[in-house]
Amino acid sequence: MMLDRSAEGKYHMRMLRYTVAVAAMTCPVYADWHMLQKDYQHTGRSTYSVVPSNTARWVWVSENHVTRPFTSASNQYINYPSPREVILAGDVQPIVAENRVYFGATNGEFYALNGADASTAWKKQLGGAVLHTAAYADGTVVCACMDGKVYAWVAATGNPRWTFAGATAGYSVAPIIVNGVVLAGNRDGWFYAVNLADGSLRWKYRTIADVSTSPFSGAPIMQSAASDGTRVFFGAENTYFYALSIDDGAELWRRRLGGSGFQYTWPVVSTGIAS
Amino acid sequence: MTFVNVPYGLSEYVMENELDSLPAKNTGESALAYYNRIWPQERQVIRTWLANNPDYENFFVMRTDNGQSPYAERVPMGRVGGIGSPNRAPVIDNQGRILMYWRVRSSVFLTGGTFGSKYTPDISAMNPATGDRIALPVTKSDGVELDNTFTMTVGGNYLYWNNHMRGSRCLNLTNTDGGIRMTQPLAYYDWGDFRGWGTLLIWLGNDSNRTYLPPVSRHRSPQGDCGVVIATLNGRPTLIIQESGHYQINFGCIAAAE
Repeated sequence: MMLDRSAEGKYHMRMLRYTVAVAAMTCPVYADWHMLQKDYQHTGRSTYSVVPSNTARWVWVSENHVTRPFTSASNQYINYPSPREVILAGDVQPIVAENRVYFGATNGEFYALNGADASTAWKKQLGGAVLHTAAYADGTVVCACMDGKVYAWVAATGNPRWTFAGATAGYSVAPIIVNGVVLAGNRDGWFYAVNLADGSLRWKYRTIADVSTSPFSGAPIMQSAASDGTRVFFGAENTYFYALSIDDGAELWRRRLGGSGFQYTWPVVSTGIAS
Repeated sequence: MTFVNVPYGLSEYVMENELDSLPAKNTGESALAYYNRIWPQERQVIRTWLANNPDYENFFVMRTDNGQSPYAERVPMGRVGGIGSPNRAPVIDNQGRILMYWRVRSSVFLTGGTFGSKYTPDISAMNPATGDRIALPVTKSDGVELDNTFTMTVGGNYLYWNNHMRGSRCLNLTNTDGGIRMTQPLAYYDWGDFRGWGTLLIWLGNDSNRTYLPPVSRHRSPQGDCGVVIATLNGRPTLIIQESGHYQINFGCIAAAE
């Protein structure tokens, strides 16, 4: 979908709205943001642009502190409660699906907000902090939590679908969902593949350094993975980078890279490029 | 191919002497002309530096089928990042270009002032066939700190930046207009010691008020940054920004702008 690429300013905004309105009548507008950096390749790319005016439709600080709308003006500020009620981890990127915004917080709360006004569609209390971005596919929202569990809910209602509790440490990564498989590394040194349909374990893989008996094997996984659709890629804190088969978890290759770890970053996959 | 950035601490000023050794920009010379003139030499300087300092290599391109580099030579991307923060991940724009930060002297897209280095990291494309840098033929009077780059998102022809310390902006990739500030840099008034942090979420056109100090949280948000989100909410194209915060101040708000 190509909505607009060049114009700027208010004229641009009016045209953009008009274009969307027309598009909505003639074909479905599909412009969700389903996981970290939009997709499992983490392209971070949307086909259309939005240049904001000085008005935000809403500003959500917590359930009890929502400003609708907020217009920038002299001496116009957002009301923040003190002490803060909800704190979001820096890596938490909101995801968007079914006209809602989904994200978790460090106090273990997970929110589904209605996009129109940031009212709470549903909310859950998890057993630990949420330190990264959620994921969505096939009507299901998935969140990996520092309590060591992966949660799945029906996006529309918040009804629980399943909870995967097979890890022994917390998750501080954004899960990705690829062809019905939820993929996330854990601080326990294992990478988990869980079936989206029922939350059953499909396979798990323990990070191996030079050899499996190395003290650097089983290193925590702090990096969100990326995928090309059939393989999953991620780094562990032993500075090895891995490629696994999504189908069965077989290690396809691993390579030691430099640096001191992979936290706070993610791989990006680009397909169809000559190399 | 897959692209990986690796965090590395304490990288400010590394490779500075090597960049200093390159020919200076002539008076009146455009950034693009300067790049065209010195890049072949600069590229070799950076590759030699990486070969001599392999631990500083922090950007890797790998074939997805075997993990090997598709290139005969290193990607000439000098060290970006520091103080525990990695360089930010690349984004792929709507022309299929791989955009990322490069540590260079011959910046073209970003030419503004910076902090932590004499030379602002540039945002350039990478030639997927060779791993070489391709400067974007557009100049912005903007710059980023070497150890405090912005997480990138692409929407249409715009490149969006978000950095929980420095706020969010958008920059048109196709013209020379300056960047548009979307939210207030948290440390806009930092004065080097962060005493004077200013307003919270302030949209463009309202940077000047310094009277309000946000509440100080006892919690520290885990470090990290996320890109802005561009999606449709109820049929309306929407920009969604998460403002968190480094150091003692946590914002944790989400704003939907249009």
